[in-house]
Amino acid sequence: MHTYIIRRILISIPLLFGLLTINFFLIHAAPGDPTDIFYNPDMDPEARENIRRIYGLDQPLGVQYLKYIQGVVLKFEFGYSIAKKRPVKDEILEALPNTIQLSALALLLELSLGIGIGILAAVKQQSTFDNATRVTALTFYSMPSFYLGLVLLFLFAGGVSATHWFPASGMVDIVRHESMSTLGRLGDRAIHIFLPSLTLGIGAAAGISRYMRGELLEVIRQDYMRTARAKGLTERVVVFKHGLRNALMPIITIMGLSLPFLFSGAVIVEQVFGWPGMGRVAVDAAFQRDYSMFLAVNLIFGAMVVVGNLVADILYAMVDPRVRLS
Amino acid sequence: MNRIVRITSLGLFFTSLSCSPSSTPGDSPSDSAQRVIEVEARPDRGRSEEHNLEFEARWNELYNTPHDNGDTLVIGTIGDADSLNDLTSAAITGSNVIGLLFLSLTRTNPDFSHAPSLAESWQFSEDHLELTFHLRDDVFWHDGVKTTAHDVKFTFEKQISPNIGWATIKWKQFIKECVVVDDYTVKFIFERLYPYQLMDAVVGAVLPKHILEKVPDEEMVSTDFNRNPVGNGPYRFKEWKAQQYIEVEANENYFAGRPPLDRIIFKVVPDQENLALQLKSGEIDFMDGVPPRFFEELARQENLVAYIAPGRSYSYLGWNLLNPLFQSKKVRQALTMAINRQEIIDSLLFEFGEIPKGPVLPIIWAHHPNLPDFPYDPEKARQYLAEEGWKDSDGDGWLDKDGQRFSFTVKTNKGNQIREDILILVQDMFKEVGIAVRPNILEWTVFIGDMDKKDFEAAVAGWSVGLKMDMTTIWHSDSINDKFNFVSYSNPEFDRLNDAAIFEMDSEKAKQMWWRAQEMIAEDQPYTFLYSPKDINFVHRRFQNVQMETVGWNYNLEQWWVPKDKQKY
Amino acid sequence: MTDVMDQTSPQIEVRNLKTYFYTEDGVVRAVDGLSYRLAKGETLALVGESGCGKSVSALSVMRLIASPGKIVEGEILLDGLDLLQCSETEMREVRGNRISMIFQEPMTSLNPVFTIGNQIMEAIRVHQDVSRKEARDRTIAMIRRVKISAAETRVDEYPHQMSGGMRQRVMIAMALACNPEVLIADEPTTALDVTIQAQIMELLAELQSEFQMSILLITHNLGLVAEVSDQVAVMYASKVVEHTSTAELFASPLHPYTHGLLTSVPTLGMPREQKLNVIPGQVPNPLHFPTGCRFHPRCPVAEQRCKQEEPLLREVKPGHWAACHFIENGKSPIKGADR
Repeated sequence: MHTYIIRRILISIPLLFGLLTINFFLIHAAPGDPTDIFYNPDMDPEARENIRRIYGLDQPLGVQYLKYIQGVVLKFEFGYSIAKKRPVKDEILEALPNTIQLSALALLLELSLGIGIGILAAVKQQSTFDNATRVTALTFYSMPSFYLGLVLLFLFAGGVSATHWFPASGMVDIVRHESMSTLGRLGDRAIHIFLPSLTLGIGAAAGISRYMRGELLEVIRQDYMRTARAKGLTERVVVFKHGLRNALMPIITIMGLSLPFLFSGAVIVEQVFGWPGMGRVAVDAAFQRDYSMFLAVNLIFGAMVVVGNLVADILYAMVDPRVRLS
Repeated sequence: MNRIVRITSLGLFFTSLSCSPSSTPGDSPSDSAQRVIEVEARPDRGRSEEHNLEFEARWNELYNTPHDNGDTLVIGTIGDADSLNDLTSAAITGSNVIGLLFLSLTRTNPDFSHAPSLAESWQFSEDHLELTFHLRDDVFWHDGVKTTAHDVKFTFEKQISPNIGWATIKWKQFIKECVVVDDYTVKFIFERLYPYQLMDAVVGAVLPKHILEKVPDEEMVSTDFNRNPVGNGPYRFKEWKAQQYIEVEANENYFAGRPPLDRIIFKVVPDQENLALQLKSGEIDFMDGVPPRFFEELARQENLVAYIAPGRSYSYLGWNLLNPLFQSKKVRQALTMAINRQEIIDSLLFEFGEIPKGPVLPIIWAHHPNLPDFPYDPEKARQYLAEEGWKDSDGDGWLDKDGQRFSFTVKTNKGNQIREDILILVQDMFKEVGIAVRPNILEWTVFIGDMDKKDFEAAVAGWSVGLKMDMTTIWHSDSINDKFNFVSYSNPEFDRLNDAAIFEMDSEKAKQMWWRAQEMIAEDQPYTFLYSPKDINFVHRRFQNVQMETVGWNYNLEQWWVPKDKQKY
Repeated sequence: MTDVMDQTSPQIEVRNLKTYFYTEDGVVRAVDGLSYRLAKGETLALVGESGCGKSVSALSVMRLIASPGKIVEGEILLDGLDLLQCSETEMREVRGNRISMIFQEPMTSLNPVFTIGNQIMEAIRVHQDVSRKEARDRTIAMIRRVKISAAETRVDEYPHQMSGGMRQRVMIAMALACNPEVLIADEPTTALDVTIQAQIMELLAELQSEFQMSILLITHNLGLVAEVSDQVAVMYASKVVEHTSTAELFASPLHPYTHGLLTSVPTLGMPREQKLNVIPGQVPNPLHFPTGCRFHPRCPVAEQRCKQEEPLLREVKPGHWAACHFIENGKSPIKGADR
């Protein structure tokens, strides 16, 4: 198993390197450059040239590429962000944990809600619950997350005063957080992360619930389920022990593949809820042509895909004894 | 009109979902008068070197009258700062924070004249080529070091260094040298005489030499000071969490006395709906540049006071004068007459805007109040076009000339909803007179790239007006290739007038020249001037002594205070 | 030869069992008035073509009929206890404990994600209050008993690591883990190689005597029936049409359907030129059974009466029950049926 993981990671290195290279030339080929943010009649073209020179943008593209790659490979340096005026690494180290926090909670919601509802819907197939969750799931699944986010904002974050239960943006109450007790701070964080993670997770939860229901119904028809019942096991043990583990296997694959989507979904959710994460860094970097930042962000998103697949494979091997990683 | 309803639906969404009791027309007039305040447009005296004693007296009053300290102001802002170092900052949030952390030599009065700040007084030499500032001797950097003339000289040298890339380096172009006379006296020596010498000398925050002298110029863009600034202003830097907030706290040792508010927090919320919501619910106390579609809903909130300030920017539809379609003045005038600008303002700006007749807005001293105008008149537009040979000869509803249909593409940038909506409105309006318009909405960097390359036929864009009266970069023929005259307006007489007016020391004479220059542009209509939006600000009503001015909502931010019994935090 | 129907206390007796499936197309009468008896320690073979309701009747005994199926009528008496009156909790006590079942497909009847030990142990622990350790010991013993070598290591293997025959042995071990009174074997060897089939049947016979249990063998394989069963019940179209001892059935099949079945199977020593009998027509659709005798459209001796009147299962001869109007004096209506 360990050698397998190590080999997979090693294989992904040239992959990510290629990604970095392609992205480098793509973003440089895109119209505009980072100094466009200084587009302003009060600013002399001379000042723009100064900035281009300071950041080395006046050099031939090949030279820029070699310098960049050299920094990444030799020093693990990802350059300076022109728009943020700081090392790319600093900005990412500040934003990434926030996105991981948000995505992790969204994933938790996605899995617990999705699997839970999926199981109930399958067990009570054709019931009111099944029908109601089918309609609800379809609604959430097809609702764009920015729209859902806005609706939640207006309903529960100040639009309706009677149900103003959650703050509208940020990670903490920036005025009062400092003076709170440890427990208070925890609660403060919880109410801040709730709506964004719900917005991020619920669409995927809706999808998972349908997959889960389908898988479980498929599994329930299997011969070994009949065997389990014939042993005199309770329905609960039959479904949860014998059914669930089998039904979960495809869900693990879906989950692994959806990990990068969770990250890209964060791009929109973070914008709506003012969550200070990678999504906003990514959007700014793309629009401001903040080359170094853009490349680093894409590298992380690429790494997410690799990690997501790897995690799915490992989990799959843990759940299904027929699969051996080698 | 259906399209208007559709394109503004997201704005209506905000209003329709809210369940707060709505105000009725029966609201007492005094109450609403108190809650919506029109900011007075002051006569612009930006060229003046005299003190305005009235404003200075008013400014000083607060420090002599009783007020309470305490409470926190939370300012909602759509974008994060990029740097809190004036040399490297390019974003608006950064400059607002810098304004609280750092002092400049002078402070701007509501009429754009200069008031003492770090400099107590100043005077020009006989030949007006040397400007001497006398600094206060009781100003300290937040780390306890005294602010002196050496800091002023150091700052100037950094500002003009080509290896730092200060954005407004151009303002210092006629300053030959900065000389330290003694620790509290500093002298600027100019290469030539011109009306904005004082303004150019004082522009930019003065920075601490003792900290920044250790930073090589090339590293200024990434130095730690950008995110951990040490200033000398009324507030000192406390914390900056990227994309979350920037917090500053009262400077107990401020020379004019501790500012009343304990803390001011700039909270970053990257979405306008969300910002407006937080303003309504009280999570933020202040927001500037509120989109007009939120006005009605927010104005109903008991706890908010609205300040409506005159516009400091305008949007326009620019015609590429290199394109044969737009080379006739009469055609351009007809195009302007084909557009119902009032309708644009009414439907997209909810009436919070005015039609500018030319590029110099009323808040500028050189503004010409009676420019030639081309009001909405599709009939006359058709007639002008017919005179220029544009007729619907084949009866298909579109104008043509020499077998060519009158059609063109209008470009604008993505992300500005009003501009995007304008494209749809003008498409309909031009159709009325038989002109076919194709909208093309581009990403910002792509859009300005196209502008630079003259790769456009017509474009909707906007300018915010600078403090200095100077039309060179946008209208001068020298600015066609590498500056901002992308419509390629070229008028030798205008060039001559502009070049002379810039350096004309006599205000009255200069004004006459600028008026003439504006008349030329209004007559030539290289742009159709679309609208100048009013600036809508909302602030929580617990804040006292809020004096918003045309120079900026934050004119006296350091003087805002909250009575003890109303303090929230 | 004992007289099954008169035996005083059968191990299991099914009376007039009806299991219907309520589908969108209509009511499928999968089991429609089935009756049989299985004596203690004996083997009853339930024989019939695919789709005649054999398997459903077996699942009905376990009360494992899932929606849209439903047991609508009848009695299933396990040593006098009517299983159809039991609560679900009581029923769970019966399943795997007093009645066990093994299935046709050993490849799919074991859960792929658990070790075989885990799955056998589960059967023990659900019914008996024993420690993990003890359950494991008994599991290993059980695995040994079904003649799987190296039981101590195989106990921790997964089903995919075993062959089909091995898996069926595991199924048997699991089924017998709680020493049940009745074992229902639903086509236990159909999916296996012929040589393995024999081994499994041999094993079952051995264990039957060892455990003193009754076996309900569901099969379509008449060869198997002849070898192992004491009694045979022939099913056609959801009902039993003939029920007697194995020897009697093979010696003198009375029902025309049974006769057709027997002559459609090649037997050793049969002259080469003799053609195999084929029952004409098709198995009736359980949605629309024929009126009267359900076999009449395919029956060589059917008359008008058969279309109108459904024959009852009656004792046509001591110890021999059949459902046909034309069996008289214990003689088949088909000439030369007695062999």
